[in-house]
Amino acid sequence: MRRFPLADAARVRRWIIDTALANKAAFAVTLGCFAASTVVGLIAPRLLGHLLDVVVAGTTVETIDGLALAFLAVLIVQAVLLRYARLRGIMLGEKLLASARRGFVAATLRLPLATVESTSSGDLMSRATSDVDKLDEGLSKAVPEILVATVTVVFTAVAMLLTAPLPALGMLIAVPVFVVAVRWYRPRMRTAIDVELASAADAQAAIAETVDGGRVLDQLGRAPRRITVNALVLGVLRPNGRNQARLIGAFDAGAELAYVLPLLAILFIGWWSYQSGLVGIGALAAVVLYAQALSDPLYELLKWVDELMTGSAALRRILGVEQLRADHEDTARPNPRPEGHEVRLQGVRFGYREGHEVVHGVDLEIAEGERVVLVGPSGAGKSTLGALIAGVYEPTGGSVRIGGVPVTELGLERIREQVVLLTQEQHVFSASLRENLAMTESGSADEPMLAALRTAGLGDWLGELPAGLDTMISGGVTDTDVDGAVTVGAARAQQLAMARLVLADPRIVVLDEATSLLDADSARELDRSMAATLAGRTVIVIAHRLGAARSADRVAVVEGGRITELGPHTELLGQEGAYARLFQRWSAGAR
Amino acid sequence: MVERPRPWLACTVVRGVDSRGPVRFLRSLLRRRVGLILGAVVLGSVEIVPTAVLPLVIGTAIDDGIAKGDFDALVSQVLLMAALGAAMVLGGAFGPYLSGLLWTHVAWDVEELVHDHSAEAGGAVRKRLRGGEVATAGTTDGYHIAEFVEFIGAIVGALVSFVVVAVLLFPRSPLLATLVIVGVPLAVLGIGPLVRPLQRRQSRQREQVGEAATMAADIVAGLRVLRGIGGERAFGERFDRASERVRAAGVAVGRVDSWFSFGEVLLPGLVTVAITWLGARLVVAGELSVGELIAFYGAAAYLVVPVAVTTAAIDSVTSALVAARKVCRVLEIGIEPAEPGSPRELPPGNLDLRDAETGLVFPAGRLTVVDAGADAAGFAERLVRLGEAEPDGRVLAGGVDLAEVPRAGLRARMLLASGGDLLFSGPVQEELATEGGLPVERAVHAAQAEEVLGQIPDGLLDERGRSLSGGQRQRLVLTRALATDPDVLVLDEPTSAVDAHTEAGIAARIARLRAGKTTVVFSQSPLWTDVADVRLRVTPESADEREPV
Repeated sequence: MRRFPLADAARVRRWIIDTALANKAAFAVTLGCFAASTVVGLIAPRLLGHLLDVVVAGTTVETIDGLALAFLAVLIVQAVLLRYARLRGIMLGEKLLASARRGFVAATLRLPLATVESTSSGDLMSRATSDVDKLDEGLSKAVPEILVATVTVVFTAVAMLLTAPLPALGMLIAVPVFVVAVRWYRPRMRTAIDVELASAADAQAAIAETVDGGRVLDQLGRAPRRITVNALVLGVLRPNGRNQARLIGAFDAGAELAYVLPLLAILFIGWWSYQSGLVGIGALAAVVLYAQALSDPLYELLKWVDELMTGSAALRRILGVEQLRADHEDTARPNPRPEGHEVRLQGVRFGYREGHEVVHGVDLEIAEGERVVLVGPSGAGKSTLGALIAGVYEPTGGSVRIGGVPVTELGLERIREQVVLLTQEQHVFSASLRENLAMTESGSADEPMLAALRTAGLGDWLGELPAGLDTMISGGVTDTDVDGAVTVGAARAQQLAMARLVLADPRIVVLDEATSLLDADSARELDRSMAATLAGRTVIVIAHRLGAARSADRVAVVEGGRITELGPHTELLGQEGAYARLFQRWSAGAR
Repeated sequence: MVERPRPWLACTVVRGVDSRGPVRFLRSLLRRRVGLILGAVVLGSVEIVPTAVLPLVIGTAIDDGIAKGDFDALVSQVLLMAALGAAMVLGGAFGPYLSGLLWTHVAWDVEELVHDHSAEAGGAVRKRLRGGEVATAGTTDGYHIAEFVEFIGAIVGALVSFVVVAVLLFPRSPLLATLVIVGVPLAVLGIGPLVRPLQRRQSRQREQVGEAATMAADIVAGLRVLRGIGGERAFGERFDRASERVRAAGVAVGRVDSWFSFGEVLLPGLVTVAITWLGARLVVAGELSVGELIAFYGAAAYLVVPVAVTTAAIDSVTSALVAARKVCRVLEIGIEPAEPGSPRELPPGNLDLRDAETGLVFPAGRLTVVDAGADAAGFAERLVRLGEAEPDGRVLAGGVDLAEVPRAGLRARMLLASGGDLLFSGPVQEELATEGGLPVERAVHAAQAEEVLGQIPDGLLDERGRSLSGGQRQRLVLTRALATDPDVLVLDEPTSAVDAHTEAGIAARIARLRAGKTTVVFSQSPLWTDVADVRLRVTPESADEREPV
């Protein structure tokens, strides 16, 4: 299964720049407060240096008390500024995160159906959950920490140079160490993080599959086999984690070196400067303290750069989804209004992959209000034809037109007014029944919803729900009602989908095994109650139950990607072809 | 041991890990990595203690070396610094390395526990939790636990360095040293009152984050519906509201968290100011040297690190406990069905099935087709004792009550396959074959799955076999079931999505393949009743409504 793309570096950079520009003021305030707090904080070592100088020169207790009070004032101002800066930083981080989250969901909601169908849901799922979580870590914590650390490092260095330029130069010795460490570390770490994120997504998908297939594992006694499969994923993750630990270890060693070396250098230069009378003991002490004070923010910087890298890898995955072409929303496209609702397929060809054509030139005209049933062996291309009529896929040859307009040229809203595809697999959202039904603006009033539920055969069920339309429901394997949380099983989910269809009110309906999970009696019941609703609409039914074929205006037999028989039920029975033979066996069993 | 089976509480110890509560869980998880933890603790101290001692050495270097102009003294102090630096580099290399290893192992230990338990618990986990929820417990929650464990080395290092600094400072000035020893812990405790509100807000934030993540996952899972029929706007707005709640909860955390930072600077800072002030007075009084004052100042300033580490540790412990609770919720789910108190084996040979609730009998060695209407799924599960049996849901196989047969014995003889069963991703041949079963080709032939196999690119099934149609998936599920060749095979709507033509062929071939073995098919398709030895109907009154198609 294909994965979604990763956003490239340029796109990530553009996103960062755009967000920074959009939040200029907030950034400025946050940064300003951090800077102010740092500057105030830097006064403390200077004060100490001054204190030492006056102490060495001989001073009074009063002077010392005065300096201590100044110390105290500096401390309080610094703490207050820092508090404000942090709050601002977190608020900003949360804001950026919210916009990334929303951007991701908005982009997901624009994904073309064809993309959704052909791409790993685990990949998208892990982007929606664990990557957003990682970005959260990155944005709400790493960004403020890095801001503080950077500001502190820069200002401390400036303060050192102002206090005692010559000894301060000793810190330059740290630069080559850092450069080497960072250049060595960063590309290796980035690769390792990419591996981790992708494999963690695999692990997540493995768990989800195991949980959902739990009963199959139980029945077949395949738990050990499944455990082996997961062990393979862990077989990537564990060594990769070890590798990351090694990288961090080497980098941290470098960071420690970069901390100790300047101290040594400063002391030596300091000795010489002091001897030459270039600097006083107070200034020298201040520089040493500054150099020491650098270690913390430097370490924080390095530590959080890590988090930020994880965050940016997550960001690449999140933004990668936004990179995909949106569905039916290309404004440059013509959005013509169809004339009438007849469906016309002309020489339609289609393949999911290059060189693997599954529909080989189908011609079919379906009049407005006609009911056509597609029958044929599994894998013959019936579902693909249905999806092509609904505009999910673009034909690789020929055309599918509704009212004379190629479906793929219709805008999204217009295509939904025209045609809705209902497949076997339905989803029940973990939301209220109302939210599960109100897919369109027009369908949000109570009465149409209640009527739609009754039409879909859910009238009795609705009566049992504790809070009616506002009952919270979610999808599940079977229908259950535990602690007021109502779970909707697969069969009832199909009925719910029918209710959605009634509310959506399209002119053309493609039902692809849409009632296949209901038992035969319920399915017949549903067919009857839907008949009135579907009357007058164009209906294309893909069904394996031959009972459905008898009520159709025409039956199309699809075999090997082609229509081999086409005509009314009775006419096809008279032809004594494949359809007739099949129908006879069906009838025999029913007797 | 005579113990009544307690279905979802029975299992409290999974693979040596205690899941009876978050604290016990964390403790037993740590016990598995004792060596690594010890190593991380020792090397963490090797890194952090020299950092703490460094200000003292610098003080001496300034005092004895620079101020007095004694180059030899300076050199010896600088050499000492170099030695400490070497220890820091060493600890810096191996401490974080071991901590990183710990992270990796603990995070993936949790994944392994959650995954393997879910695999072994049968369908029990899915009944109570959603797949996505369990997947989050196995990954994201594992990370939170691992982050706490990763911290242990640093926490211990911080404590040790604190003690070392205290011991070294004491002889130089008992007064100042006492101030440091008492003042710094007080500064740490001073932040204490903020811990509870912070935890409360953090757990609220995690809740909101989880809700938004679940919603995002729900949107991804239901994307087909949203794209096909509409609702993007409604669900987009719904998510925006959830996202807004996350933001608000995050800001609420930030309000307390920023006071935390305030306290982190202010409180230790007060100690430093007090030391400097008192120290300067002592210098003036001639009781302390300038270098020693620098050393005290540096040490007090350095002690901000243990303070910060301790506060961060509180943070990580909290989220680790929250995460551990979530993991325990998965691990405490018991394996279903629970093992019987006094186990019996099924008799050898062909088995007949008798269902007490309906009174129906499924004769041994025959193909029985049952029309159970909407109750089919529950009935089929009861027949093979898939989950816990209802009190009056007794089923006898060859005269033995299934509730008395151990799970392994049941599964070796009986198999239930449903049309909606999941196919696992991976090599399709592996997915279909069972050791000691029928050759796969015979099962493939019976289920008419040849053409399906030909369509799978590289013979690799994707996630849940999603790229196949419903009918194609059902034929693979059927192949998989047939290949295991059990004594009793129960099929629940095995061909509900298969076209009639193929269904007719499959029914006939399965009847031949299973000849002489007990087979039960829940289906309403006339094509199945056509090949049945015995036809049963659960509700007799529904018989007349049957359409004579």
